[in-house]
Amino acid sequence: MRACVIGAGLGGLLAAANLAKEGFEVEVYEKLPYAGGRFTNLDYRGYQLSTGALHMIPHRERGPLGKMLRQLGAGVEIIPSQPQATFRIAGKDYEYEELPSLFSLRDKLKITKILAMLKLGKATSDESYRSWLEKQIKNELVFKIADSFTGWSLSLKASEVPAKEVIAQTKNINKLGGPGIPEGGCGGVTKALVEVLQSEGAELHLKQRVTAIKQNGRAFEVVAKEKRNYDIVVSNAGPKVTAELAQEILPREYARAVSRIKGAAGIKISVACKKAMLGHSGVLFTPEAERINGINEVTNADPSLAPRSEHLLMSHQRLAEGADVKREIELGLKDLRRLFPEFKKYCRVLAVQVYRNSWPVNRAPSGTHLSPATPVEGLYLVGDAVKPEGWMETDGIAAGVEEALRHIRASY
Amino acid sequence: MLVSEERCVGCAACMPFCPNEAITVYGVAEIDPERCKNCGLCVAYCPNDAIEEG
Repeated sequence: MRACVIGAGLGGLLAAANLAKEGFEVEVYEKLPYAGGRFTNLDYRGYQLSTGALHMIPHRERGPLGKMLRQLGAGVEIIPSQPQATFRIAGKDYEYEELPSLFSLRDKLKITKILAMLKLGKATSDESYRSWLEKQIKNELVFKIADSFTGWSLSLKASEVPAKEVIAQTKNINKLGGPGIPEGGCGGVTKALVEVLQSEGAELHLKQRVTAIKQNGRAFEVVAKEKRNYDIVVSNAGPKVTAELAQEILPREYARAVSRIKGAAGIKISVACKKAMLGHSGVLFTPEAERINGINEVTNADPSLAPRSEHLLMSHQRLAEGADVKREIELGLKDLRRLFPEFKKYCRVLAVQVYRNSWPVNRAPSGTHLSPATPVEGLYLVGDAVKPEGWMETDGIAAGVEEALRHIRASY
Repeated sequence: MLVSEERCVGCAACMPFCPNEAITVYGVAEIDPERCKNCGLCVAYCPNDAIEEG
């Protein structure tokens, strides 16, 4: 059986490595000169910036990605964040369990109830997380905390994500734990996966753009530099591009439906620091900042991500559709200076990176639950548009790949 | 090098690859023509086909 994987992003690499292990003859096509997509390192003056993700895996070594990497024999250590997260409120940092202490007795009871409901993980209606919360409590700080969480993890406001999605995600956090930092950052994971591909005999074609996916009898014909036939095609190019590549074989309604999906956008600011500004390896949520949703300082877990004795701090903020990008960046930078009074003295902005349009944070917003199976048997989608309910970020990508593999195993 | 303002998202993937430090990115990439040696690396490394030689 021959499998073609289009795109060497995290979803494509995971799918290719699994298929190769399962005995498929695998070829991966990547249009760029490097593998990893939005999940690899950009070495800039000794600082390991990233092409996308913030060098973090949402459920450390215990989530779908950690589990899959272990099963594949990809040797990457994932260092659990300690603490998982803190919340900066009125200039002071609190851990998750300490949050109820910030509220009046009456609201404290309501918050305890909300936390219990999140833990039990039950919501059936399609209402947004924000309106679900509004039914339980009327408190601006609670809404801001919710927005900082969904902004950091999903690049959405609490009003833009279904309550049941956040509830399912919280259940997974309670079960598996919070984030971890892969040794070597995103690039450490990508490198390990490319090594798995090599040892399994899969071929990785860099700088080779696929221009069409056709059908040739029972086989798929994939057009790149040459035309080649495959039994299955797994696309990591995103639903829109895939629908364009396969326009001859996919129903028009499907192409129309995926063309309507609007991705989630965000801005990441990477900062070089002469000393630790955050001092821990978890997430600092910033509910009271004007734009920034959260910050991490990954060098507290893996010092090799910055030059000796320096630190790499990264902030993330949701970018609203139609917003003035330059103004949003300015507001993000203003937040950083306000959050860290010593910013000017110890910190230097390395890069401001915007993720939107054809290179977004997520190609489909969390809660979309697009199936990895397409209307054409043998053609599958993986990547950040294909995340099963309850799984966010890179763990969502791995869970989506797992679902694609279940479909493939059932048919081939 | 010509940057398409329509296609460039401002992801800065090109910036670290420039051997001449000619690229600055602030919402959109800008290439300093004085520093640029037309090596074309940024064209290859742009994920969004936003840079053209010219």
